[in-house]
Amino acid sequence: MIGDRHDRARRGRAVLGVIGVMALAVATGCGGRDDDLDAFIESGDAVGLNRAVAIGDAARNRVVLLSSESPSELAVTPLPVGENRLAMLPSVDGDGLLVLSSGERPRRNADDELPSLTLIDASAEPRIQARYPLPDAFSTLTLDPTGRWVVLSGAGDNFVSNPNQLVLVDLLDPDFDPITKTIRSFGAAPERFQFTEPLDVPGGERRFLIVESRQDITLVDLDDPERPEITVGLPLTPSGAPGRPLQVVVHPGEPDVPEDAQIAIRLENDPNLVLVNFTPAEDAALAFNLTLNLVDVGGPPAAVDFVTTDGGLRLAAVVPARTEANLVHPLTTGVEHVSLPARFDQFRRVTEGALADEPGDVALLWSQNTSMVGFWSLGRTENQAFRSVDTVNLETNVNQLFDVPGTQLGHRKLLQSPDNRFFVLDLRTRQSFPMFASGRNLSLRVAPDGLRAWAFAAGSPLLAKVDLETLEPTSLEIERGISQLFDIETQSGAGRVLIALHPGGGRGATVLDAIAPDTADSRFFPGLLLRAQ
Amino acid sequence: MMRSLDIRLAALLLTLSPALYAQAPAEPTPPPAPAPAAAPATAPAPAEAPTAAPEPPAAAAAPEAPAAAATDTPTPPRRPQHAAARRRVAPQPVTAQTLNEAPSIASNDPSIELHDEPSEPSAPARPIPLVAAWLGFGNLWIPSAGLDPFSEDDALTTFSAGAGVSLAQADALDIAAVAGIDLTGSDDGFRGEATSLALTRLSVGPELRGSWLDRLYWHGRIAPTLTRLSVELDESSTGATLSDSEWLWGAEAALGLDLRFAEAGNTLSHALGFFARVDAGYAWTPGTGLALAAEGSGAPVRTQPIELRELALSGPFFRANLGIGF
Repeated sequence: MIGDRHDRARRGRAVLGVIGVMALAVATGCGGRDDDLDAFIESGDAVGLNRAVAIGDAARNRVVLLSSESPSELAVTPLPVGENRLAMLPSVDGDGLLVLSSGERPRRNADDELPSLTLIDASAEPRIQARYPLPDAFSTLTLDPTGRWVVLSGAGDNFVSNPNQLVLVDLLDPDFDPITKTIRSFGAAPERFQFTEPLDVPGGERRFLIVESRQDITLVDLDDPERPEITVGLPLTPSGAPGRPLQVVVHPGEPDVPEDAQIAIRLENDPNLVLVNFTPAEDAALAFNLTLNLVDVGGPPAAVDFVTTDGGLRLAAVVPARTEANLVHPLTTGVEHVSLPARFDQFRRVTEGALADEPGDVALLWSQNTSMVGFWSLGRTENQAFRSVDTVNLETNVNQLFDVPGTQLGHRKLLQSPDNRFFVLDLRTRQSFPMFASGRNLSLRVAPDGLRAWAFAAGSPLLAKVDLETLEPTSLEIERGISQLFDIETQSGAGRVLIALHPGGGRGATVLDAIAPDTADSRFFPGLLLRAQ
Repeated sequence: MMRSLDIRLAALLLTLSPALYAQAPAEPTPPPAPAPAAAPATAPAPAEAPTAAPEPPAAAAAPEAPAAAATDTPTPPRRPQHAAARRRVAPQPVTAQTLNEAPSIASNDPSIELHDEPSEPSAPARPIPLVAAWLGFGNLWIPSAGLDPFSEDDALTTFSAGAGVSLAQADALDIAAVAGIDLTGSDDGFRGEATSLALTRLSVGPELRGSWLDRLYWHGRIAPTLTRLSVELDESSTGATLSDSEWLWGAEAALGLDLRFAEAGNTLSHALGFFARVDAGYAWTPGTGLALAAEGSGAPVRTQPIELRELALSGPFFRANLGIGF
């Protein structure tokens, strides 16, 4: 009897043991999957850097960087960025990526993420170089052309916002504590920002952040951001409306003339240009005073810039209403009128890196309303200004101009017309070379090394390389439609690869040798956002 | 694809289950005719069957059930009998003497012709069958993150089947060779791309069994496994299906119970036993990196594989089967 009870008890324990094992199996085995696996894939544009392509992956709060060591390889590096990405911008040198995020909203816990600015270094193995926490969410960022500063503004979707609040971040210091500054308001809010190069002003060279609002401009001293800013009220237009700045250009000053930096402002619907001069201040507390001069150029100018002519520094202004350009002497404010052969309304100084061997600057004139392109040789304006403009008739309009980087082929420009044609314009020979594309939705990209251009039609598998030296096109067809095209340097810097991104799904890419592309040797990399790290 | 397999298996079991229930009532009803004859036949059995002499208690127990049902003869209290001990009883309770006596009974009943004599009943089913086969359902729990792209959760419902052959017995223990198969699959999505997974796990190994009750025995098993893993991803940028398949070695260990709930007589020496079998355990398979390639799928040439997170097919499992054994 006792033996039976023992047997039964032993069996009962064994049965319970088996049931326990099963229960444990159930308990340890249950588990849901990560929400990231159901995250949607955004279709936003990727950003090209020197050695990487950055694809945003907002649903997973990350940026995926594509880099390559050879045309047969593609490395996928995801890096975490702040939650709720608002903007993504390449750094000025092209080696970095700036990502602006609004953080976790609503913020419920102390460890919930704050708004932030993330700086990613992609010059070698991609990594996060710095993350700057921000006091509030901002919607726009403007980069300093020297790469040091970035200014954040715009209220985003904050419940209460201060439109005059700016945040300055020094990108050279990973531990920089962002500077928050509220500029004085005279009834308008900042609309645009511009960083100047060092200006030769009384008290020494200074860099400024120029803040344009609807009725004034404000100068923030970047060498001492805590210093009170200077606001310049703009004159009323002839119609009595407040002067609204459309363009601000800066001349840092001649090397041999002290304290001669100048600012010129083009106003909306105003034939007057505003010239701002820096003069020594009588008040010791102030480094300088600003004086304004108005120069009437005969009509509202469409574009202005400081240019170097054979007669010295001038302020050039294109006035389409009068089909003429004007050269304004910055000191005497004397105006020299130059008749133009067409109603140009776009104007760009193209000397830098292009025609440094010619005396004076060369400017390119064009318009969407004319088939002509003008070359304005500013080195031969004195006494023969009417001869300074040469034209080329393209027999089509120009709606976009592309610079060619570098000095080797910098004298060439790409002009895109709306009818799927584009032109390689040689500024030295004053010649244009037309290229015809058979498809629609033509897009152009100039390689960052300035040696070739790429043409493709969004959604089409067709693309072409144009050698900017020989102007020889190479047409290619890959196996899937293209959404974006990037010509990047390999990680070692020894070669270049072309990355053609494809839409849909987890994003795919075709990789080719950018210098000698051959589709018989391409590689297709599917599911870029699905891959494991 | 995997769900359709599940449905087919469910249909198979539904088809099978009425047949099992239909046979179940046959168990408690022994054939009435031979019952009176069997009772006196048991007494001389040891003398007539020398091969059973070393184990007389077992020999006496073999025809015990029909005898008790047919007579009022008081019987001593029944002691638990271990299955192995009972199986070593002379397999045929119908001895030579029994056969000699049977015609005399028949000759007294003119309504029964000799050539219509009912066949002798087989002995009850063995508590631990010599040969058995089973099939049913189960669950695998695979907590590996590598499974996530292919399954909503970590549990995979399996169709399982197996078979075993007894190799040796000692007292209440039995050692068998058991082969099993688990089939499972899952369809899901990975960031909007359709995915599927199919898994076939084969195992062959020894199983130790021990009888507890007449109808209940336990089993424990450690066996090597060979797993076939196949995964697919319908990738949009290629417009093709990318896939990967691998054979993986591993091992599993399980404990379980087998309960015989019905038996059916037949012309064999023992009745067929129908049993429910449950077991639970842990299966280990080393992790493997998945590289989904696009061979022959219409993808662009030189499409590079998508490497996903490592998938380790290790985890606990549970199986519930219905089987038949002899």
